[in-house]
Amino acid sequence: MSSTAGPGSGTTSSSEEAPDILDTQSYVNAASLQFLLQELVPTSIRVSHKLADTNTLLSLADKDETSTIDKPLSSIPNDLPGTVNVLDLAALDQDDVSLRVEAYGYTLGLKLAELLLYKNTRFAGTGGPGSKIVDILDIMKFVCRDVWKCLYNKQMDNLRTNHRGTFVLVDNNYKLISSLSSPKGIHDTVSKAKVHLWFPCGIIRGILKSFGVDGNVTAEITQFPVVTFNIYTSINN
Amino acid sequence: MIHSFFIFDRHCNCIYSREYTNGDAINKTNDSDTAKLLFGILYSLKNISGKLAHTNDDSGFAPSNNTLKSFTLGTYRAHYLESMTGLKFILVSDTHIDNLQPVLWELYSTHYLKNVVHNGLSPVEFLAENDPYSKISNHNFIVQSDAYIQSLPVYR
Amino acid sequence: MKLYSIYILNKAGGLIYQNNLDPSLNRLTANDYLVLAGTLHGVHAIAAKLTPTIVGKDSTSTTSGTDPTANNALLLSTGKVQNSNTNKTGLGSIETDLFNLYVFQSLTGIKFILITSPNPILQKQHEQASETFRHLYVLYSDYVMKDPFYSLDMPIKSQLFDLKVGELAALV
Repeated sequence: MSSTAGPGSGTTSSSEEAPDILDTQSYVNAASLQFLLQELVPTSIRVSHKLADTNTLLSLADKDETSTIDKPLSSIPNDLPGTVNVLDLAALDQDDVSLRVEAYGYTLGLKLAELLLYKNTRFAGTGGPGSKIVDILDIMKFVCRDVWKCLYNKQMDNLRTNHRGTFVLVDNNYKLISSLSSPKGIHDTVSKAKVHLWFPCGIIRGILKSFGVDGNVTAEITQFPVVTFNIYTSINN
Repeated sequence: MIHSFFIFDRHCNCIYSREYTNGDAINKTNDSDTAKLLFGILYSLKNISGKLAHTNDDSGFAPSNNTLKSFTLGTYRAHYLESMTGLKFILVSDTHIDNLQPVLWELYSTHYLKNVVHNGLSPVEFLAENDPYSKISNHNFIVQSDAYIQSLPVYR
Repeated sequence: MKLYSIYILNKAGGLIYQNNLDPSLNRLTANDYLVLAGTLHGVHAIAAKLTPTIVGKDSTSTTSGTDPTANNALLLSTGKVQNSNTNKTGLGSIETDLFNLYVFQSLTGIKFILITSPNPILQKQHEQASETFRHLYVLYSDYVMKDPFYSLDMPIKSQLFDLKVGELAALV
């Protein structure tokens, strides 16, 4: 999401050392990535739709033609390339659609944590940047700071906790949804944006899991595009 | 003075129309089929300008067509910009306004790209007349393009 | 401003005179020129229908200035018309990268079409074009209308008219 996928910290490592994985990452076009992420929800809906319809499943199995502008992407009415009618399907709110989107994020979170922590561990020993992660609050800070920095080139704007395992993370301008605007008004925008939010929820849950923390993450939009992530863990601190 | 603003997609459909001087109608379909007539004129004139002259470059590429920039209809001037992807932007002003090409370019490069292309809830292929997604009607695009056009010195 | 071409269309949209003064434009086939004339005539008619509605006004509110009967009344009472150009609602001009095209329609429905070099300062060029149209209309009256061998609405083959148009173009 960040237009300049962080070129890493500018530490002076000795030349014999292999370059850091995060230091060698190439710049990624932010717009392309954003478009790709916007396809998550429609794709998930199409998958659910196909799974629900056994007839199309059979007929689509042997179909491998390239898509053209007038060929529907699925059996959903008016689901042509470049259109957004698929988002109006009732399936938008179905659990399996949300679960699938969340699962994409979960996998990403598990892998991302590994990358970021690898770096963290290395520098922690040499007195470089990086911090020891000792309790659940440190993990949350890690999500707010390092993970969000890596994904969106910004930090979370607010972190609150009740010290009984519940955390609230607030991003005042969440990049994945900030450019969304439905022709049907703000209510429609919010309800459609909510489905997209299962992706970052999955990412956070994946990160937590890689620390061995089982949690439950939900997101809500109070005032568009402010997104509040509510994290419930069983850990008391 | 700027009177109205139209966008046509590459399938010849009017995907946005906005009137500034007479009411504030947005995407109003009127009985006189203004958009269709305008498109008809545009199409013919584009043909004529391409046919009568074209730029020949010696680099071996196909001759690029002469581009239509504006035309006058009675006391109005229609300014025209077509993107490489076939989107057509038209601003209708009084005849004494010479050149609105930079304005059309801004509407395309900033407002259209930001609020339609980057907007995951807005289609980029617009469907036929009776579909809810046949026009650009998202709030951000309307508000921001209005604010931009109304801030121009030539607006009043 | 440089004149590229001059066309004259009769009231049915037929091309009755064409003079390509400058080789800057593409040469088309004779048939293509006829199609071009027909297209311009058609576009002019559509434009006249569109002009009152393009800014969202009712078609009845803006026609007062262009009503032909009002023009005729003026002609009868004063003996002259303020402006011989009736082109108040139709297509007036086209501006492109490589040329500008101007349309002038007389009260009788004859269309004079000028194709000129492009000029970014449109207003000034517009005035120059109007001036040229006036001269052209005079030439048309003098050397075509007064030619006893010319039959109305037919192609103009007068060499004298050709000569005079050439002189006019050299002056512009």
